[in-house]
Amino acid sequence: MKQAFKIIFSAVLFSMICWSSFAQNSNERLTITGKVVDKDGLGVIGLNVIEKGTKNGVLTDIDGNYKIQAPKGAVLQFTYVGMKTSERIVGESTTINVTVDEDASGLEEVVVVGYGSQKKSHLTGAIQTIKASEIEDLPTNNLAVALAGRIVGIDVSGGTARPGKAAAINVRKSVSLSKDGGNTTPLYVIDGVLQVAGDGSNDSTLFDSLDASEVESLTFLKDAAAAIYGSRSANGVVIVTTKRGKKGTTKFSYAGLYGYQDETYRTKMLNAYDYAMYYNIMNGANGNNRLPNNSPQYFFSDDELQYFKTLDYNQIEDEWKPSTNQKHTLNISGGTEKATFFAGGSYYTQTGNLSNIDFAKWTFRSGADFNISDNFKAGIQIAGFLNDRTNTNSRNGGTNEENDYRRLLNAAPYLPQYIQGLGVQRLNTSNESQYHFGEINRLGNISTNKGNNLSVNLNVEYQMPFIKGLSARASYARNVSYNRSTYIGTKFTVYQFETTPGIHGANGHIYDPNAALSSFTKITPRINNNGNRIGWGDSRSQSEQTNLNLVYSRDFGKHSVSGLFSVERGESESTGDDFYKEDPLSTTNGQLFTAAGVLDGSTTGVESGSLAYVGRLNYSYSEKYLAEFLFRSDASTKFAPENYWGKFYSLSAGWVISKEDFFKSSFVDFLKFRYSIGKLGADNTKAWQWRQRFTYRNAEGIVIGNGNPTTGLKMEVTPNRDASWSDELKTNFGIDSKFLNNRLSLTAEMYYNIATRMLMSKTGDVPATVGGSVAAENYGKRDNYGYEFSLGWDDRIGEDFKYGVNVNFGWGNDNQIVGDFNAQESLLPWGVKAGPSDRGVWGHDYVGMLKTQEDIDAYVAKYNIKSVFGVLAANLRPGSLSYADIRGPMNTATGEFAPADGIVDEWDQIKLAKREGTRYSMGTNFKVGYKNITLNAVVTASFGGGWNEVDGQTRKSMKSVINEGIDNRPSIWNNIYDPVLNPNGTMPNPYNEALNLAPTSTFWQRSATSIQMRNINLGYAMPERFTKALGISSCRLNLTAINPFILYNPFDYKSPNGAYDVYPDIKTYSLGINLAF
Amino acid sequence: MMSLASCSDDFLAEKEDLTGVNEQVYQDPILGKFYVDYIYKLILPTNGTSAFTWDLAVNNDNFSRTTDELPGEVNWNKVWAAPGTNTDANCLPYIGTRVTQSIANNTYTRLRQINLFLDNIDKYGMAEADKNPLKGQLYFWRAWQYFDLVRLYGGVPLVLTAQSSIGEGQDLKIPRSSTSACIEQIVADLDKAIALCPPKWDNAEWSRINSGAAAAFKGRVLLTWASPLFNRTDDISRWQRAYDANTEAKTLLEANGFKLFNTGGFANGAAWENMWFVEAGNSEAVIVYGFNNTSSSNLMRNNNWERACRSKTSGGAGSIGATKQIMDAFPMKDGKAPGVSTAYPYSLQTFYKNRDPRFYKTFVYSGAPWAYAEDVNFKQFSYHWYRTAPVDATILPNGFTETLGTVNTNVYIRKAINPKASNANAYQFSGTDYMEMRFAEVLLNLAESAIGINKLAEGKSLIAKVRERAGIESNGGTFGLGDVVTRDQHFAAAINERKVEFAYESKRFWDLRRWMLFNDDFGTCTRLNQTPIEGMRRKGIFFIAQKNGANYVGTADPFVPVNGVAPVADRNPATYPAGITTYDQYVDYFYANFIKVVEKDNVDPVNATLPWKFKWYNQYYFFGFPPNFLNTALYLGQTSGWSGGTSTFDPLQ
Repeated sequence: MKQAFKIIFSAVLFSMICWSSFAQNSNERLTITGKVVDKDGLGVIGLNVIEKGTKNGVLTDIDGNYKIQAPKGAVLQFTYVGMKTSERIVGESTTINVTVDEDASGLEEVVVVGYGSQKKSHLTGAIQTIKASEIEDLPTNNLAVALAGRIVGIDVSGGTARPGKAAAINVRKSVSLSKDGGNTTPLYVIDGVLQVAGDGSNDSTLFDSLDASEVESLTFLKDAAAAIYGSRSANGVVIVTTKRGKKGTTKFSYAGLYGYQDETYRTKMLNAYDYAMYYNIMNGANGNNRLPNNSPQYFFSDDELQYFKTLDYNQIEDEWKPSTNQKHTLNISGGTEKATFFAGGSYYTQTGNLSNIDFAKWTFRSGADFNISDNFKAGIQIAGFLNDRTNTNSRNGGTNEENDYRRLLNAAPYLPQYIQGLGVQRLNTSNESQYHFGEINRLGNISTNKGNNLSVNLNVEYQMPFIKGLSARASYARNVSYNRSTYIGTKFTVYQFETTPGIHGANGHIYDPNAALSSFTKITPRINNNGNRIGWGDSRSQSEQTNLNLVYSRDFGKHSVSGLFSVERGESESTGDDFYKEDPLSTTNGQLFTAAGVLDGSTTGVESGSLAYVGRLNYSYSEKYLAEFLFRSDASTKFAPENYWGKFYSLSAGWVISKEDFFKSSFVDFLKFRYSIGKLGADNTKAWQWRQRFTYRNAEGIVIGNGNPTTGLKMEVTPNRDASWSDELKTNFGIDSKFLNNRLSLTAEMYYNIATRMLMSKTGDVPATVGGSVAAENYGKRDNYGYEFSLGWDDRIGEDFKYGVNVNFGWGNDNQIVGDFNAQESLLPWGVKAGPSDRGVWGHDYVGMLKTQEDIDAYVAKYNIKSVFGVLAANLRPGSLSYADIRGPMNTATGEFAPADGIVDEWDQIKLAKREGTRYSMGTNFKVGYKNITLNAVVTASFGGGWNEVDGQTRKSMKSVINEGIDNRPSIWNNIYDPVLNPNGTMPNPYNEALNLAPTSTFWQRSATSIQMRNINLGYAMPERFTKALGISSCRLNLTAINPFILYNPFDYKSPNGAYDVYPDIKTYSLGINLAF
Repeated sequence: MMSLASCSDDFLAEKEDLTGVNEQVYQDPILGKFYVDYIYKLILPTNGTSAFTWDLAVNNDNFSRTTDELPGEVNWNKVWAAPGTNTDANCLPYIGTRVTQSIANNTYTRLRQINLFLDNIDKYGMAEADKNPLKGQLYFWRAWQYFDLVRLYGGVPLVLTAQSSIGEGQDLKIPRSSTSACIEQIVADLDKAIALCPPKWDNAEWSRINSGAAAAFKGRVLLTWASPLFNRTDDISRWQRAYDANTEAKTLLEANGFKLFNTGGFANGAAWENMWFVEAGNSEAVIVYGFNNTSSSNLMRNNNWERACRSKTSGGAGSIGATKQIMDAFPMKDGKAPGVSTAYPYSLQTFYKNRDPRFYKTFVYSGAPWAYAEDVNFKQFSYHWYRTAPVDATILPNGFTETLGTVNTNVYIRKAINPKASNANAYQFSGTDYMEMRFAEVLLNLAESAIGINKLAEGKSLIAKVRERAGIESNGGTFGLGDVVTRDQHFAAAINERKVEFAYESKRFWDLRRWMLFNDDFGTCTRLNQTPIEGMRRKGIFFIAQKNGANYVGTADPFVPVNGVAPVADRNPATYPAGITTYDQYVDYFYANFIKVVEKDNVDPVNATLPWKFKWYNQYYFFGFPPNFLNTALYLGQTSGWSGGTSTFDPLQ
């Protein structure tokens, strides 16, 4: 790790030296005139224009115009507080017009940190911020998606597939070892309010519902700086600051966008002919060895194969359609010396690509801040959201939201969905085969989820008149959410069409959607239950947080001191109920009286509380030496009362070396070193596990007669009264730097975290005769470490062209030092044991496909094979994969392996890859601007080895009886080897899963590299002369694409991420407008 | 906000656990009952299991497929390259896996929940009258669980109190007890259960364990202990102990109204057929697993047996078929074996004629009536024909009447299939209870024990009682058992009777084990004149359509009329040919003229190279511990004959 850091750091230094040799000179002085405008085209008053390296300088006038004398080849510097410094080289032209940008990464910028704010240059922890304005044009329904690839050390997953599904954020590859009590969700703090669920765990509900237009900035605390949030911060903290009013004239802005959405990639599936060939080869002599003549139910006949060549019933193609989304936001803000206000609202809606899928969301937020007297301030903020999500209610073959997409994509390509308007069911009664997308949609079998939320923040602040720099602040926040989900699942009728062999193909497998009904032997109506009930579920959660803060801040000469003390009390609870009624009428409107059957239901509830004492001390000397101390003491009701309290600290320091007198550099503008170390902790365990619990289990008792089900009481885990806080030591070393007139910036972080006394259930070496399970114990020990670089370049060429690129690059690794290992299995080379969590990938040594009996004989002779994954040597068939025989079983007493035994099984694994996960992740943000036009793009990549393979579902074999098959498979199966039917095939015979499909080997390996275009944003700001004519202050248009294409995909049949048969990632093209008045 | 001033954390301690309870389960009789009831749920079949061939140890019908009852390759009837390897799936994983982060439903977890209750129930002052039945039921289930382990693995570690692995330093290592010590522990628990359980539950509590059930189960345990698998030297004292226990059980049960179910009378096996459909108060039901018959809510537990057995044509799943081997085991009407009986000669072509009445209540062959609610006159057909003329005799018929698919043996099972069941929901909401122990078993357990101590006449009379209820011809009270003379012949009669009486009731596997009848390595097949299962191919039957004395060839179904005329003959005509008045007679006429009955030999795997045959390894008489279990407890010896472990355990001690 350190080595890699050195190399990259020296490369950066070298390039800086190169850049510094650009200076030129000339003596001829010219009179240069020009105008300096901001990004909205307004003239900038009082801006410094200086000939670089001299004392020659002027200020711009009220319209932003200037006039200066400078020699050809000189560099003019345009500097202004809050704006990015720009430079222009004096050339032939005597007019130099400049557009200056707001300085988003300005050194004097103030950023929000835990319980306060700080100058960015004073930060001593791994803290990164992003302004919401950077992402507000993206047509997404949640903030997290838009962050993908933009922030180093932050992984964003999901959120771009099924409408209304939120993305998840993970900070520095957080993991949880505790099964139920833990999660990897960072703590979200919205306007100072810690977001916790009813059971006290981190909750992302409110964050997921925020619209970018109501947010000012986001701050990510990645290291010990999070200690101020104590126990909940072990997974990192995301601090959200929402918009507040600003003094000045009332501003009104509107933004709207309209988007077109379609899938980024659709899995390629077998067509009807290839599907039929799959069956014939799988069931043939080299597969299941059925006799074709006797078994029409296992084979497609030749005339059927011919017929299928022109046929492809593609249910997903029939049902999938492009969709749209749109978003509208309105903001009003303004204020006077006495009071400021902000009010905003947004509306987002997205239609699904399948019928009955819909999502809509409204958000609103308003707030006002009052200066009641010189010493006394107060503020109030009210915000909330409403959302509404609709999906197909799919309950045949298990309740799973993905069933609609999965069954459509996997539909057998030789069967139409309807014959003469009658829904088709396959000739079997398995639960999965009863699914019929068309019918359950036609009958309005949908599930809905409606959520709403209201949150209120109140605060008062009092500046102590008698102690300078001391103020007190009290705040109270309350948050109430209510969620209702309903579903309708009726009965529906579909038909089994019994064909006549000879008429509907020789083996009776041709189903013509236009065939006369009379041509079928028998048509049996089947009444299937899509759950056959209507359901209602409600959940209500509320939380409140009260803070009492004392803040002190004062400068004494070059010494600057500030401090904070807070008492924080929180309570949260949630309750839920759900009830349902059986046997809905087909005309049901979802109300209970439209169902005739039994009414049943249940309720649940959880509650939790927390109390914390928080302290912070900051010191800086002459802006050069910086130090911060954080303290927090938290109580958690997850532990026994005597173990409630945990204490957390962190200490960090920074040195701005570029401010030192001895540091003189023409190309280094800013250089700061910082280090932080902190002891954090976590209560990653389920509540109440300090007592032996028994939980109520409805209908899990004895069955007596035919009456009502009885209740059971289940023994829960063996309690651990001694469980308490885990210890997490986090250290971080960082460098912030700016070079070449702030054009180049580099932030480097190196971190090492070690967690001890981690809460985990210790089970690996417990004799199995103890039974049950156990509560978490303070047992585990794990470290993780890595580095992160964020490299940026911002520059302009000539007057109108500006460009920039930001590269975020991260690497991380971790070791499980003490874990829940079994002593015996740790002896196995591939066994779970202490050491790196990523132990690489173990699998079988693939030695080729057996294509002929000679191949089989040679293989059997070479390894003296007796059996391969349970298949006896004599039963091996052409079309099988073969693997080397490496070892015999391990002797449990000695831990030594017996020599190769002719049996290929689990003992014959070899290491196929050093790492399972990819080593590096990178996000790149490109920016180009020309005059009023800007172009932004984000590309993400993962690379650096690791293991990637054809997924398990693709490798499952289909059921051998044709009528019992309910799936299709991806197109990689269109070329199965068979010595007679397909002698040039490359895929193994799928008949024996354990032998040919399941074993991990290089046969299934694919590249672990993937590169994806996440978003592109093309913007156009209307010139001032037009906006003035229209009477508005600004107008921007933008054209955006999300997930438009995949730059490198290791698979040739599915998208790079996720399962092949779930709702795919959606690409969005949108056109938006932003207006300000 | 004022509350902050006090900075007290008292409000935290007021937070409550809203989903669970603690010691209250040992104080409140209702909560205690919930606790006990959950044990039933852990052990009894779950919703949707085909209870009649289900076994807890495999959670499906794999054990039935390891007998002559059901065909198909499973882990215990196939060839292994290295048998006795405990990493192979042939090492039975039933004993469970190591403790994991979630609470699995496995043997020692069930035992822990039972032990935890027994450890604590006396400490919280619950009244005797409330707690005794609860304790009694749990002693029974502890015995049940240990017996299930012992009959599969031999001796196992006896854990009798709930242990905790939290913290350091406790000794959790409990060694493997000898098989005999385990049996004694099981008997001791059952004695407690007999003493603590009520003799009979009223109908509102029907299907709980009563004292008679515990006594009868003790009889089963001691009979197993006396059987050759455990009793290699034929120690008579063990048979005596089994005899005493079974006598006690019979006496106790009869005193409380239990007896052979007899509603409907014995003629033609009427009572025998009816007994499955009476629930509360059923005099046959010694141990019974209840099921719900309501279609409402997925909280109900339904028996999948009805659905699995019913044909696809009549709206079921048609997924299990009966083997010819089990059909052959059924005697003729006079109780004599097919081919032995002179009164009722047997031939394959007329295999269905003049059989034990139970035959017709257990099997459905092509043409047999099989009523269901929607069609009380339904006839089940499962015949085949040739769609094209076969080139040689190896070609099998490829036309079949059940276009939705038939069972692989072409013979359906109808035991405990309710003629009043509706196919509206594909029979999936069947509430037919499953009697794990019938009164008939108590009689046959006693019979076998009596034979063991040479009370041959008593043994034979008990078998005769079961045959009498079945509707077999009495023939002067012999019920076809007149030729049974020697002790081994008596044992054989008992085993054969069980094979018929309990066919498809998950009993055959255990009888084959008890008597070690999978092969003749121990001489028991010879002693009892049984065909070893090893080497067998389980078979079905082809009913092949005939026309004019030869195979019918054609694409159309030969027996289904199209426009009023069937290609060969109408299988279910409105009017019968001259001289025939009943459907039964028409079936005889039909078989004689239009059906050829042929053995079907492709229900077990057909393999081109190695002919598949049932393969038994004697290691399976006592299974090995799987590695996932053993690796947490190497101090336990591995069962002899199996790999893994550091020492060897002899299950015969």
